[in-house]
Amino acid sequence: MSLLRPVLAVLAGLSAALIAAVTLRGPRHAGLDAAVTRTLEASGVEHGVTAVLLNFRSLDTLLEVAVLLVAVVAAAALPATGERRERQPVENPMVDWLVPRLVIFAVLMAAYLFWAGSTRSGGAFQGGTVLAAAGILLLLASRWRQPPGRLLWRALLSLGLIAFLGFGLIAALFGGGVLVYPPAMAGALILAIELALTLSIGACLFALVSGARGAGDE
Amino acid sequence: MSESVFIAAGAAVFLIGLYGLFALPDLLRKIVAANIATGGVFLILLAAARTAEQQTADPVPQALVLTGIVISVSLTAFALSLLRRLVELTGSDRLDEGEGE
Repeated sequence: MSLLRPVLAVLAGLSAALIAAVTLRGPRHAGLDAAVTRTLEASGVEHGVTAVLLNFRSLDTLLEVAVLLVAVVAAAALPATGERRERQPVENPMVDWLVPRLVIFAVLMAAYLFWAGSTRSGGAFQGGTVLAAAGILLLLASRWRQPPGRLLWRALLSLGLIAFLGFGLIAALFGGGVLVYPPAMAGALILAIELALTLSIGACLFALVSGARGAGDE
Repeated sequence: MSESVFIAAGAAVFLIGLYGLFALPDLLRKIVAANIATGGVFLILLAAARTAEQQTADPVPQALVLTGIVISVSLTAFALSLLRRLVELTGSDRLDEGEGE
């Protein structure tokens, strides 16, 4: 054990040095910035990162949403903890005043982030994270009601993935292939997909933090 | 070439995370160290994304990092639920170690 740690440190140092050396000294490529700028108009949005995420590399985003959902399902598949500590509800006048206003502000922020993704930094993941944060705030302040019903909660969790797949298949009817959006309707399609994704990602992230209770067998 | 500083910093953070992942006995610390290592990787990716001619950054690595952050969050959450279950079942938060270590 006394020899293991220095050896591990040396190995980790070697691999980090290798990565740094390759990145620093490797052949300089111009990157894909020019290619993205050239095809940005046909993508339906005006921001490069959003276009890459939801149009040019939409397959990556689809798989990423699937990974998120699989993580929720896997976390929910673990048996519930044996003992539930009775949570004392938080009685605090500052919490009473602050939490509803913060939640409303967070929902507004999430809506703005979702909408801003078309023209600047923003998008479904950013908005969904803020929604999840609002849910966690409610949970921590002991004001979270039970999710409205197992089937509805599960539908909300999987809405993003289903909408993404569904719109991708519908886009195939227009002749380009699955997930190939015709430029005329790309903007509207991306907005619709992002709306479903925002709600779904918020629900999935919240479910991951709250222990995925509502999606399990309880 | 100021992105060299960030690439070196990212490699250093990756080193710390990698070392922690293998050397620390606590499972919770291993999970945190893995997260630190992913942070280092994202730093390297973003630092390498800046093109020299324009001041704007290449959007494709940015999209890759966004995807990576979401996946790392999902898998960290799953790993933490597994850790909680392991602690419930065995009462210890480390994996079995051999005798005499």
